[in-house]
Amino acid sequence: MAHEHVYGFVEKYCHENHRKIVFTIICLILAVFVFFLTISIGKYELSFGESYRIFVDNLFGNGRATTENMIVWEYRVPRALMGIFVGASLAVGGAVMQNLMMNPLAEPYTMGISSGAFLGAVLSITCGISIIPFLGGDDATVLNAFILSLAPVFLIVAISKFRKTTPTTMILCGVAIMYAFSSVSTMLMVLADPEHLSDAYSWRVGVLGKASWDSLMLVIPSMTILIAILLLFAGKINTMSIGDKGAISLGTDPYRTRLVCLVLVALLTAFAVSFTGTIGFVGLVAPHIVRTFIGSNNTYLLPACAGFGGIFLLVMDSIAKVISETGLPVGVISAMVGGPLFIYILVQRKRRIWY
Amino acid sequence: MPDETGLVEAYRHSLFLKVVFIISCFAALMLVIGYSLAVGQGITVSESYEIMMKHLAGEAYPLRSEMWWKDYFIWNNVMPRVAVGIIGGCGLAACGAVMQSIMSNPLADPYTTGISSGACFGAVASLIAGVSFASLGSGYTTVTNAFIGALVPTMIVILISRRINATPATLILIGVAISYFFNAAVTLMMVTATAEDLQAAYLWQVGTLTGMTWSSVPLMLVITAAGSAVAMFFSKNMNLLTMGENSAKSMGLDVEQFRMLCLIMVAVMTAAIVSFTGILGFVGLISPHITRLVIGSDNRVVIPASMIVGALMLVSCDLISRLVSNITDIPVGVVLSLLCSPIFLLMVTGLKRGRGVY
Repeated sequence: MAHEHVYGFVEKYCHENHRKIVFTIICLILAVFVFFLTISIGKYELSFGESYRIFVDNLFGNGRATTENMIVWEYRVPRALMGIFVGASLAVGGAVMQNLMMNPLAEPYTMGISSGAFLGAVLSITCGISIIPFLGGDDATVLNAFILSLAPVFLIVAISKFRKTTPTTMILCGVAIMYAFSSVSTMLMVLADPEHLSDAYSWRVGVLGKASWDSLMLVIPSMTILIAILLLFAGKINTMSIGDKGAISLGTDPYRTRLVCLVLVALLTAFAVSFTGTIGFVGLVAPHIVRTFIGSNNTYLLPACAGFGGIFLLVMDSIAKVISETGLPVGVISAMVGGPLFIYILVQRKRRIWY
Repeated sequence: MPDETGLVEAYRHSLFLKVVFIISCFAALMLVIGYSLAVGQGITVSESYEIMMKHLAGEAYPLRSEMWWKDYFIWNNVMPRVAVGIIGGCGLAACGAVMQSIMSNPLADPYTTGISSGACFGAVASLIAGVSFASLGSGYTTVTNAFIGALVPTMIVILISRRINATPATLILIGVAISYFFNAAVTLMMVTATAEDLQAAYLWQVGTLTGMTWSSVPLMLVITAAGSAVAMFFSKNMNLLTMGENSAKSMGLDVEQFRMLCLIMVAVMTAAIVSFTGILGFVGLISPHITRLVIGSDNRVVIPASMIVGALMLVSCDLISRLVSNITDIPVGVVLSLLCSPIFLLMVTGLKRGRGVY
């Protein structure tokens, strides 16, 4: 056995790291490829080369006022970019949460973010209430969702001032808050008339079709910064996987780190959720899939998750566009394809990677 | 260290606590039932007991007399609803207690293996697409569909777990994946449905006791009674499981097989309940916790006690929903989660470490 000799062990380690980097690079290359593929897919027939040319033209400011140009630059490119960034943030958020909570079932929504956002959206859709005054329509929905999605996390941070919060308490708090919020939104939906209910329901499922350049101008920089900060925390998150006491002995304050990361993940998820609705499954499953390939070291896991999550959501959105004329919600497709895939990976796994 | 007499006293005290808890919950349940029967017809609580007792004793009134109307109202309008509430609350609470023990996870509830999503799939298929899985007469399509659908996820979980060495965590993960799949299918149907169909399907999901008749009681009653009897019979084995899987094995328990058996039992019980009422959340999750907080975690007592707590919770929430429903129709599922989530939050933040409850 190779690892019985020191030399073999080092080689094995280098080889493993090599594999991790290759996986990340493959993810990034695939992301670019899928991006161009997906902007040529849709109701309006366009070839791969044509859409590529339109994209490059627009990138250098030579966009022409044709229908093709409109479709590619105003609809498909924002949608694809939104898919990549939302997928990446949810996957990174999921990976961080699973590590912080030491629970393979944690996801970005574990803290009740999704239920808070949904309550905000329902308030605006069924009752026309806007938390920030003098706003209406879609802006109110987005802002309501953003503000209320942060409420559960602030509550948890407030509770942690009084008690030492263990991961279990945090999860349980999140679940409780989630139930409280969703009971209010359920009541609003039960009382709403059928049309409003239908609107609110489709908000919850999550779609990428609403993406526009205006929202992307806000989403892309903030998500990039938040993901970058989380990547800086990767080392600290690694030390926390050996337990709170181990982390303390390695010089990490686990309670502080957990809270800071939690707030970062909450902000990241809030951006994703308020613009697209609650797209499920990516945040839970993408980290698990990546872990089966490259293991649990967060220094490599987080970037790979970002790449893989982006691709995953983009591919699912392309499938959604291909199989239906009207455009199915991407959340539905990712759960229907991802569910069986996840079970397959669970059954096939050889190593013990879930703590 | 308590000396011998101290130990005996502590034991007596805990026994006393258990008995008092069970008796007081039972008394509260009886009170709530009486009040439930009385609400809405201008009958006093004691009168409603009297009418119930007389009906059970087989007393008949002259047709369309005042007493006849009261009896008719109580027996045909309110009583089925209360009965379904009691049976449903008992069954879900027992299932929740069993699931939390066999999964060794305080967050497990009867729906953990995806039962709710399967039931939803069945019900929504009948409500929106008009599909029937088994032809048993048009009136019962939703119920039979939901029942069959509810059993599918657990079957898949069991089939898969036989091929791998399944820990509770893997079982839960598989359940989550399956419920995601079925939920996606439900969402697909709901998104393509008309607004009115969507509303009907959504109301089914929330869970309600409105419109229950005696015809839905027998099947639920038989399955729940049988299932809870089995659960109580197994409660010693569940106590073994709390010491950890290896210890349980060394005490002669075939852990994997026992877990599968319990899963099947929970699935059948939950399916029988939710197919009539819709997805009633929270009862199965919270009532075992409340019980454990008061009387500790000996499953031999926890299962029957949490059944009473569950029935009490469901019947009182239904009562509240009927009281406020003069203005609008609020399903019991909403009342349940609205009232119980703060309780749950208080329980969680108030958890004392090292009490040995979980």
